[in-house]
Amino acid sequence: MRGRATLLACALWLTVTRVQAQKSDVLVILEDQQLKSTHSIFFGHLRQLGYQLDYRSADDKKLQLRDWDSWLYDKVICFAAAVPEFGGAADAQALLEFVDSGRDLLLATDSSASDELRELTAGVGVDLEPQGRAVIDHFSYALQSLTVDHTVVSGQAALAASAVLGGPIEAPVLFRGIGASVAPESELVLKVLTAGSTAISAVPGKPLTEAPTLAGNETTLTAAIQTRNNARVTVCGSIDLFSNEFFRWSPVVVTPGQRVGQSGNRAFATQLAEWTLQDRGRLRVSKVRHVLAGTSETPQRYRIRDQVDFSVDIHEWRKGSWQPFKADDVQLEFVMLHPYLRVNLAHNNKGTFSTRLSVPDVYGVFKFVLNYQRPGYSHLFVSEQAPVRPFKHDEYERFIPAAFPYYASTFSMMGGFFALTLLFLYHKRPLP
Amino acid sequence: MSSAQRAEGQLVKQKPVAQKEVATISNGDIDLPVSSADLKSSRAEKLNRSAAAQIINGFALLGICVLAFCIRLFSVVKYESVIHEFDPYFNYRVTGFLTREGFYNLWNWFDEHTWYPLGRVIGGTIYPGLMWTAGVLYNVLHLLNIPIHVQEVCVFLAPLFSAFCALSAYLFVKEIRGQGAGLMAAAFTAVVPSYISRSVAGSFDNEGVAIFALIFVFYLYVKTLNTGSLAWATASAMAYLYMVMSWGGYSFIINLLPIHCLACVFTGRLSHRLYVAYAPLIVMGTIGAAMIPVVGFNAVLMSEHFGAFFAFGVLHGALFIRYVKSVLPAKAYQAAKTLVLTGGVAIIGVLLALITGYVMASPTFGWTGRSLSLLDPTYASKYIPIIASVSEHQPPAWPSYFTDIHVLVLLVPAGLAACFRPLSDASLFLILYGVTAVYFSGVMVRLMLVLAPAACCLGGVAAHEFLLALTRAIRAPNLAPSPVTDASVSLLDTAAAPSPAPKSKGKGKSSAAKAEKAKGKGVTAESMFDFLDTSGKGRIPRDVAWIGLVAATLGLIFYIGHCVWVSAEMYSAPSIVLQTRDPQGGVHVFDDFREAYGWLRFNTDPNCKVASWWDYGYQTTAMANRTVLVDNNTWNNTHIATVGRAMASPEKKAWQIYRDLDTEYVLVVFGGFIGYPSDDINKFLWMVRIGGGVFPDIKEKDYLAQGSYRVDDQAPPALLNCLMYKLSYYRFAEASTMVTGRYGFDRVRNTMIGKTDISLQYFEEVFTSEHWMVRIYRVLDRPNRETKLKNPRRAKPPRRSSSSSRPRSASGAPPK
Amino acid sequence: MVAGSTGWVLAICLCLSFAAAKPRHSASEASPSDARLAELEHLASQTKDHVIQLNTAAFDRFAGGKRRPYALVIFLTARHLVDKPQLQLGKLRREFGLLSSQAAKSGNERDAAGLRHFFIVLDFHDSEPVFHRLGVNTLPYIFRLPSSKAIEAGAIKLRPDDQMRMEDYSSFPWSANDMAGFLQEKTGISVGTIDRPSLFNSRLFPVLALAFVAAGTYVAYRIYYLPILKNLGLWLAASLVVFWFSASGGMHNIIRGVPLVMPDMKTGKVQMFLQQAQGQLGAEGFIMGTLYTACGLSVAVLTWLAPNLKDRGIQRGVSYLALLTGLVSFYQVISNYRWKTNYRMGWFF
Repeated sequence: MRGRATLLACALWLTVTRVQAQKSDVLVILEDQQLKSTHSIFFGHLRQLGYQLDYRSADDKKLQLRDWDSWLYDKVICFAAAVPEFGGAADAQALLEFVDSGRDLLLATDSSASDELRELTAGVGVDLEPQGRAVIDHFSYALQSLTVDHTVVSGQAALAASAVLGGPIEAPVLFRGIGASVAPESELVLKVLTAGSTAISAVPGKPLTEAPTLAGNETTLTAAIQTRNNARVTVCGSIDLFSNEFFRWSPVVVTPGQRVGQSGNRAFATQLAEWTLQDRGRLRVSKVRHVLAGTSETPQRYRIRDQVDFSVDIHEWRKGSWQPFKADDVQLEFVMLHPYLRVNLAHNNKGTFSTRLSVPDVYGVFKFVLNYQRPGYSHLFVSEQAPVRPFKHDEYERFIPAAFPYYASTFSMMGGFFALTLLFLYHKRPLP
Repeated sequence: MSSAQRAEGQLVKQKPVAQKEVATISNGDIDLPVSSADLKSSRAEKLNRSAAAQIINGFALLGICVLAFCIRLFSVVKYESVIHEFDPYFNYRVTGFLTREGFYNLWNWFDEHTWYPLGRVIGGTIYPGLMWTAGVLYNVLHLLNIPIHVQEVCVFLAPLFSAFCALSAYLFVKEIRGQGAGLMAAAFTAVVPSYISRSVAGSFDNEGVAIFALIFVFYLYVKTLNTGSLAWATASAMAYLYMVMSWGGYSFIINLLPIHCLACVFTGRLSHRLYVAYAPLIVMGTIGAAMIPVVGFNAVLMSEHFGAFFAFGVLHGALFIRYVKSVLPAKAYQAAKTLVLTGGVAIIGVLLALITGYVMASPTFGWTGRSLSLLDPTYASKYIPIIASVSEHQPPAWPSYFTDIHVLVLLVPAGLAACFRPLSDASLFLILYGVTAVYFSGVMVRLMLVLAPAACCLGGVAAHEFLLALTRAIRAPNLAPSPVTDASVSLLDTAAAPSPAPKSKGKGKSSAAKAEKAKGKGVTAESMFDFLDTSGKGRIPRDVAWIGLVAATLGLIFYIGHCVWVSAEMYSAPSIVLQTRDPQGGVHVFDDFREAYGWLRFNTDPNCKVASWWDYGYQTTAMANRTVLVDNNTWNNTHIATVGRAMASPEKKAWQIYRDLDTEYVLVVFGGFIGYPSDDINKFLWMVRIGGGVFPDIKEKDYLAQGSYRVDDQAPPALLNCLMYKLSYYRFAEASTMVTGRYGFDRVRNTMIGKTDISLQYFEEVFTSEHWMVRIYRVLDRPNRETKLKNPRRAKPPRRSSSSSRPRSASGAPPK
Repeated sequence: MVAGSTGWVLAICLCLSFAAAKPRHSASEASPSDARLAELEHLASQTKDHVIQLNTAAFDRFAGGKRRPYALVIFLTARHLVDKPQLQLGKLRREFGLLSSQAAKSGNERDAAGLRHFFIVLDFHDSEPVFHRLGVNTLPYIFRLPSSKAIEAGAIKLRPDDQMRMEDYSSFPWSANDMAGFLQEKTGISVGTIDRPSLFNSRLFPVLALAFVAAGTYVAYRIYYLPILKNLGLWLAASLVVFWFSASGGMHNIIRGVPLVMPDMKTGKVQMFLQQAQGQLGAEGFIMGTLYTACGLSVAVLTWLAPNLKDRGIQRGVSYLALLTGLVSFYQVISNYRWKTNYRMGWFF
């Protein structure tokens, strides 16, 4: 009845499907087949990672994601902008359901993003700018760009996203496309690439009549989303960011006067793709067990003031295999209505996190709760119900020294009563 | 003990008279020839002692028991052998646990399926008498290789014990007024409606056995009072222990006995028999009561028990005074008396101060809320909404008396009068029992149950004497004294009241003086009525007697008819299965509750938590076997208030509260579809009150429109937006057009509902029973993706609104 | 109360004298308002419970004008209605007095803006025109007059949330706590817990208790030896009274607080029996209880009293009387019961 491991974020479930669907098909939706050649380096890298790519054009009539209840792909990469709507059965709603089923999506679009794509991005909490606008930066733009309207801007990779990118990227990341905005109280969306402080989002070539609604660091160029069931979605406002041209762009000269040998696009794009396709920052939890201290059996319910050993295995997917996860900030809570205990889990380097805790002096239906949420890593949520009962009638302490007077009084009382009875029975007093 | 024998001897005299009448009553009609024939037979002295009388008596009792058992089977005949409404399901569950796990595991049972996440220590918080009785019965039957399911045992336990109750009523009254009255009382008890209401087959509740225990304790107490033997005293203490472990109502006994003791002491009825009857019962009973976990130290700490100890002290004081009087010369005694009286006042003052100090220390003055609401009738309605909200705690109006004890309410005054002539210790006890019970029944309709046996005993005495007088008048030759009259009159004077002659042997002249006093009092009582002739030879005119006899007969027949009808029509409905009759006489059955609980049992995770109003907690745990937040054992007001607050809050807030409590399903009972009046909308104001009692953000006046509670379009927004309203009326408007052709017409409130387009965002409907009486909703998970967050920089809202704006369950399955 | 009433009389006299001294609407002229403040404080200190009774002239004087450096909490009453049971003006007036004296005791009669609040009583007889200007035609009527409210001659329009409305308070008559809640809601003044004058928290309570105990024991001792207590008839009567009271649902009447009789809505005559199956009226219950008892007593009479009467004639009469009483009351009980609950008992054969 008490399920061993309830992983609400179903990291375990994900891993199970991954393991047997390893390196499975990736659907690549392209606006036109040209992109296959212009972005060959990027796709080549993916192929090196071992993915088999299935190229389809966005308006392919036979485009479909699922066959009745079974999904045909595990990952979708979508480079599309102006398509009014996808062909076949793959529309924005279908893609959102694809994500809700725990699968991953890498989406790159452009200034001409269609409403279909807007709905798609809005569905994951990223609001693209209106059609036609682009990110323009008249102060720091890439020189010798083919265009003169300063739409090739350099974005900074956010430090917070280093877990996503596998480390900070100093080189400027060139970007040409549409900006997006993210709700301030958003919990799931992570801004990976943001525009410089002088950037604005406007229609190129048109004079600005009023202040731009979106400008400066708020302009999100690339956002990485990890949904609550650990599906990963990446929304990038620029298709060119992944192109060979931007990869090879060198030397990069960004006004004013900043000169870098090589653009950071290649590292950025490949790392981002690896994260999105669940090749990095993936955790799994297994073997959740809590036993009475010293023993190896899990009682149906603990007793107050018991000693309990709790342990759990956490592994990380690295280099194509599950490696022990190493972290010192994994915490365990012992909760009834509110946490009674919150302890750090210590790990031996083999991926087993464990601790010993003593049940508080309160009975009730407690829960072991492990809730581990770090940017770039899968959310881990473990909740284990563990009722705590009071003492049984025969588990209380016997013969407390403090009670000796009472024992004495009891026995003296018995003796006295006995004596009195004897006296009463055998001592006759003549009635007056 | 010669006194007891004499009493017996006189009792035997009038045995045949009453028992045959009662025997015929129990068959439902009285015909004159029989009873008059009996009177003739009773004229022959020797036949009275013959075995025939005893045999007839035994058969009469047997018939009464059979009647008492059978009249309670209507519920099984009309419906099925099923446990009734709410509390019985908990008792049934506990009994099942007892038979499965055994005695000690029940004692230490910590139940994590109720009051999540607090849990409840069952073993220490229940009165285990009922379950133990059922368990023992179950084991015995299985020992005899009768493989009967525990549910059947539970269903038929109450009728069985009501038969026992009739027997003990017979014994009780027999001790007071002899066999005839005893049989009469037994017959009344067997069918009294008030008791039937709590002991029909299937209502497996504490009262079922407790009332038997109550009367049995009284019988043993009176028996001890009459015989003065320690053996009976021990037996009564044991019976009292059984009563304590069966029902919280034992505090009635522990307060009634001291009253009687004091009354005896102060009316000069102090005797060694009283001492033997009272003192051991208090001592052993208190020690025994303290061993029941649920009572524990309350047996000496709660104010309900102080009266007993006080009377205990007074009793010893009186005995001591008597002893002093017996050893001191008269003059010295007078001096001592004045001395003691002056000193005693001071001591009493100090004692009172101490007790008041202790009592004032506790907020409720050391009384449990329920007993306080007895002493101060308006207490509960003011301070404890959770007690006042229970329907059986309401004060009764006059019709409920006639419904519940029918002609007995007319006989009680006569019974009181009967007990006053002559006044014996035993009849004094019956008087006190009757008076206190009738007072308490006036406060709570539930305590009508305590009144019923008292009314039966008093009514039995009255009816017996009445019929006796009438028949005597009918068959007597005018003004001709007949031997039987002396017999029966002398019987009236001294029945079951052993004359103090023998005890004066035992205790010297002091008790003799008391006896003098008692006699003197009797004289003064009589001397006021000197226009009476106390010879007892008088008769009422024969024609009057005839008419009276016919009227009495008709009245008794009417009583039986009423009881049968009430039992069949009013008290046999097991409130989980409902019936209606359409004009054609066809029966339509509403079995929604079991349907819904069955759905929960077979379609949800065994570990999931179900939230509902506390009325349905016991049923959910017993029938659906799921964890509930609150149930009918209302031990934690705050937790109940939390649920009430959630029900009274707007959807999002309620969703948050339920998620914090790990609730997965919310169950509401809704009657507007088929007109089932006692649904959650009608109980809603209590949720608001109880919730508001703890959480001040819930205010009752927000849910009232000009002080009136209404669900139509006049209803205030707080009500229209609260969760309970939404869950009850979700999708109701369309459906209501199918039953009543009108859009959104509520058949309970008889109005059009105020809000017909109800959409749920944080809950999804997963089950609605056939007649919509039970609706179950699932509490949705947090959304998988973030959509529709507030974003000031959003250029303009997307033209097509993303249809996946509502939270998704973890499985991502779109809601039906 | 006596002292209090004398206090009002004094206050009234003072008001009258002021009114005589000054012409009406003197407030609109340049009269230093703090003088009025001082006078009001003086008046308040005069009375026992700091409630000032004003008449028309005094009202115009103190309440008139564009704005005042103080606010008024006004309670409207009428002498000729004080003994109306459903209005309970007397009780309300006492509660009002409790509130004001408590405010005076706790010392915070000033709201956040530092405005002093005075508690005023207007009686219909002294200040009928004010009632008309307020457009008040129902009592009880408690309202607050903010300092910024301009009062000229002619009708006075009050904001509805400046007065206590029936529907906002579940219990009527309003207790002092309700009024304090109203005050706090409107002005933020919290007068603290209303302490009612009661015996228990007086200082010499223990002494009184001891004296009571002593006297009680003495009286009990005396009563205990009264010969009348030896009379069983008395005790029988007492127990019968208890039965009668309970069986007639007396407790129900107390707890539910139902009236004895109710005036019928349609026909003006009083209604003794409640028309619905649930609940009862006071008189109804007591009538039925009397019927119960009468029937029982007639049985008792037939059983014990009548047979033992010496005189045959009396005996016959008494017997017939008792029999008749019993039968009639029995019939009445049955028919009333059927009428009330309209249960129709079936015989199943």
